Amino acid sequence: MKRTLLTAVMFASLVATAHASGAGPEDVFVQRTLPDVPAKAYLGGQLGLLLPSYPRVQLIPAWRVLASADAGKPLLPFSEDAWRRACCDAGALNVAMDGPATPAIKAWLDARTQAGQSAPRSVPQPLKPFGKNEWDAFLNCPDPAFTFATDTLARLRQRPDATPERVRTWVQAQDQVFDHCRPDGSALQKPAALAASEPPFWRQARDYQRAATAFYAGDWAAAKAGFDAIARDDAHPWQAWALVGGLRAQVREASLNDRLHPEPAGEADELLRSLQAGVERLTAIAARNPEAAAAARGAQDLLALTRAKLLPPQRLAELGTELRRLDREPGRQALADWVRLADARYDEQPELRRREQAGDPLLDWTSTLQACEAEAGPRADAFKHAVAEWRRAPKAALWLVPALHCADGQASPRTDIDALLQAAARLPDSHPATPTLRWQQLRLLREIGQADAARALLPRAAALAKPSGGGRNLVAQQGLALARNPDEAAPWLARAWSGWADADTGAQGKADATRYALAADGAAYVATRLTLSQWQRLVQRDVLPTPLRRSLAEALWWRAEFIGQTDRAVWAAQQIRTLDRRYAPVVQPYLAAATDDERREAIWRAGLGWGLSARLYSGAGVRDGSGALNKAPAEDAVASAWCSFTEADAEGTGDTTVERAPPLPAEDASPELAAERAALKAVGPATAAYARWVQARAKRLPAADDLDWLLYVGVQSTRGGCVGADNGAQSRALHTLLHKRFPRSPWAAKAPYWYR
Amino acid sequence: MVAAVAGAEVDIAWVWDHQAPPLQASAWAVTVTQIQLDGATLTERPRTRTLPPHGSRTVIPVVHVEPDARRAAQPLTDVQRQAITRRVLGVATGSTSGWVQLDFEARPSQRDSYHALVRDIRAALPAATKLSVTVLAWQCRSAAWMQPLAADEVVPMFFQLGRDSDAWLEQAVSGGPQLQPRCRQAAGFSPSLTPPARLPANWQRRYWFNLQRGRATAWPADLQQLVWPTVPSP
Repeated sequence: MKRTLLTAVMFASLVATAHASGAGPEDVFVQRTLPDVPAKAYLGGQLGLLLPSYPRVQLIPAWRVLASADAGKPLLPFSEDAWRRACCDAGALNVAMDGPATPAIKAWLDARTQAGQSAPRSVPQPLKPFGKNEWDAFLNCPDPAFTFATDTLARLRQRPDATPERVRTWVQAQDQVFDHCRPDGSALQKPAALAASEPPFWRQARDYQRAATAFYAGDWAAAKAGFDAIARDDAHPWQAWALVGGLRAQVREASLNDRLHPEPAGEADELLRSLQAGVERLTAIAARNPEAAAAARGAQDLLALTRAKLLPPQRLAELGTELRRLDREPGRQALADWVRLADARYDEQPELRRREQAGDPLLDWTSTLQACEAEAGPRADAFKHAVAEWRRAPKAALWLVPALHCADGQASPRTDIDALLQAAARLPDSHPATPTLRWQQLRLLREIGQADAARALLPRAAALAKPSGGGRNLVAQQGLALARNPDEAAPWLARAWSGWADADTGAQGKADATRYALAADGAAYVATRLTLSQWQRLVQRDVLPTPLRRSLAEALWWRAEFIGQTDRAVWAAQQIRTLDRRYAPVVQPYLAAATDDERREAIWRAGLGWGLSARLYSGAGVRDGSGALNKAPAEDAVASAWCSFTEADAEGTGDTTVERAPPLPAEDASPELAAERAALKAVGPATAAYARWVQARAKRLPAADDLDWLLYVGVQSTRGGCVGADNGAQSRALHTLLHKRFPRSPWAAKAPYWYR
Repeated sequence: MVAAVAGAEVDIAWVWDHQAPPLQASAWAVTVTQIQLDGATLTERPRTRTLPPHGSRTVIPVVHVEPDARRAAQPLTDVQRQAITRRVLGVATGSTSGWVQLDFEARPSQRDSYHALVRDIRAALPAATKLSVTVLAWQCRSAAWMQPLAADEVVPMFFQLGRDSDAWLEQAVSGGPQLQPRCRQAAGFSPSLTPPARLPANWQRRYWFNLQRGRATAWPADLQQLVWPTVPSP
């Protein structure tokens, strides 16, 4: 059984946009699923770099921007509200756990307090569990329900006949309404009808509360009867909303009972006819009474939603037509509905999508662009199709974007590539497609061997990409790949973290402060392409942010120390101290050391105690450059300052495939680089180097005060991770030495085993 | 309907909020709710995708806790610990397996408060309900992480392992000899990385993850067939 839940009011939260949490490391430099420029700018035409990884909801606004520009028409963009409904509105399903679940509930509670009422029996909960084990939930009482109650209370208090007792009993009844949003297991009371002696208005208010209670309780027959009775009364102040309530009761009943499907057609037709009649009646009421307009809109939304559920292909086509009209701003719900219908219809049915995309221009363009990230075969097909579409209107940019994205410098026909590159070059920088096209020109020019032309284009491409942090990083990847020497590479090494986006909730934002790091390609470049003297010059380049220079100095320090380039190691330690004063006491013992042995001990202790490391952290692995340095607990210390001196030791997203980086520039065949890399490789992993050092030290200084702890660290370090070929032997030797020399040491007690 | 023997399953499908569970699996671990830490507060997103009837399958409800990606991880506050504990206790009442799982990749700076959270949950759960916790594989090398962990089951994850992936996968297929002993009974795997045939028998409970990116909700048939070649009885 596959059942879809329906919220009666919050159409936009019908199906939350969900992705695979934890499904692979994320690219911290480029938001792959949404633009990182402000929404208003993106919708208004500043597209930044359009990515094939964007979902439909991001691509449709871009389609409108490009199509309008190509047609020479003023852009009538989506409103931010319309876009958020489509992309990011899962908020109604996210509830706070340490207070009122939503702001609207808090506002309702505040309004009650201001009306002089004591706290309710329980705080309302909007989500109602269902199912045998109650593992699933649906949005029973959305925010507008609480807002409606808050507004109603304010209006009631203004009435001349609003005695304190009448207000109190109304609030008490409303509490009983909301008690049914999420029953807490206790026996719930329903509001009773008011005595005939009460004024008609207050009795009418109570009748509405009684119908609403039945609705939230899931008593559809009672809800419908209650709402219908009010709806028949032309003098009832809640007539319009009762009409909506009756329609919602029908739809929700169908939804929760798994009947909101196109089949059987008879049932679907009956429901649609009923809704249509309700909408027509409300429209007529609204024509007489403007206060009913909001209710009429609610009913229209409900009808649109139900048509989407019951007649998905027809509704998809209608919405597509609406979205493609460039001379009119689309309705606030059109994008959200089209995207959800298209996602539901095509995401798991690629064959259906392929069959139908020829008849749907939006689906065709978005699917073709998305295919540019697919495997070689589908990508080549998409390229062929995009080129054919582009040739129909070669001055337009709309199809030039997927054509260039899908082009493969090695595999696509050269005549096509040349034609596309010429067309892209002709497009003025003011066109909204140009940032994307310049970036793709860079890539293609590099791939077809026209590196000089690509380098000449770099400054323009970088300038166009600047408003988007992720865009700047994508151009920087190309800049690094085109670098012929470290000086050319340096400007492209520092990458700022892009904004964050929560795939589950759709929430997004930017980091509190700009953080720079090496990306995986930059870390690999520094670790594998530079001699230590080139590395040293890189540390001096103020084109790099200071925290990154400090980090590079730290990694250089270890390498220089361990291959005997003492002067360079001392210089690096001085740089660490200069670039970040917090590190001054950490490197001071090294700088004060008079002998090689003292220096080696100082660097190990800086690593064990303070976490200084030879690793070229990249991506999310980069350390924060603020706050106090904290000394690591002695018990947790391990010799893990590096894994391999000859590779980029990345943490987090240290993966060029995640960041989709192009190949690094070719390796320089200098003898100096080869010799250094051989020496660095011979050092082996930190675990092995530490084991050798601590044993030698034990011979040299057998009475040292904390040798037991140093040996304990050695044993713990051999537990796993990056270890040498003789790890087992080293582990056993350290363990033996620790227990033989210090049998009563607490550190010996904490290391009962050695490791193979 | 024949009730399965609680806790006896070997191959358990781990099912995200947006995913449909594989029907061939005989046991499901289902994310019932996702809790997002947000500074000192927390928000919850309950499961909204309906499970099909579980029939004879046993179900382990899972509470997923997501650290705040925007800020340096802070130790859990008392309010957060209490709220998470309440939620785990709540979902545990619906368990058909005798197990409940906490899926929380606590950061090093949260270690002590995470241990306290697990202690709180264990102390509050009925004795008959077992507590499973997922951990990152590297944490299984650390006595400081493992020894204070008051869980009945520790589940290291053998996927998305970064640069040392090969070494970790070697640990997985060799039974985790370098892991803390309590990390060698249960683990999380991806069938595309470590097919069942490669795994030794010491993994008595194997949680299988569908790592397909994006919006795909169904298990690929070939991977499903790899782990659960036969369909369980209805």
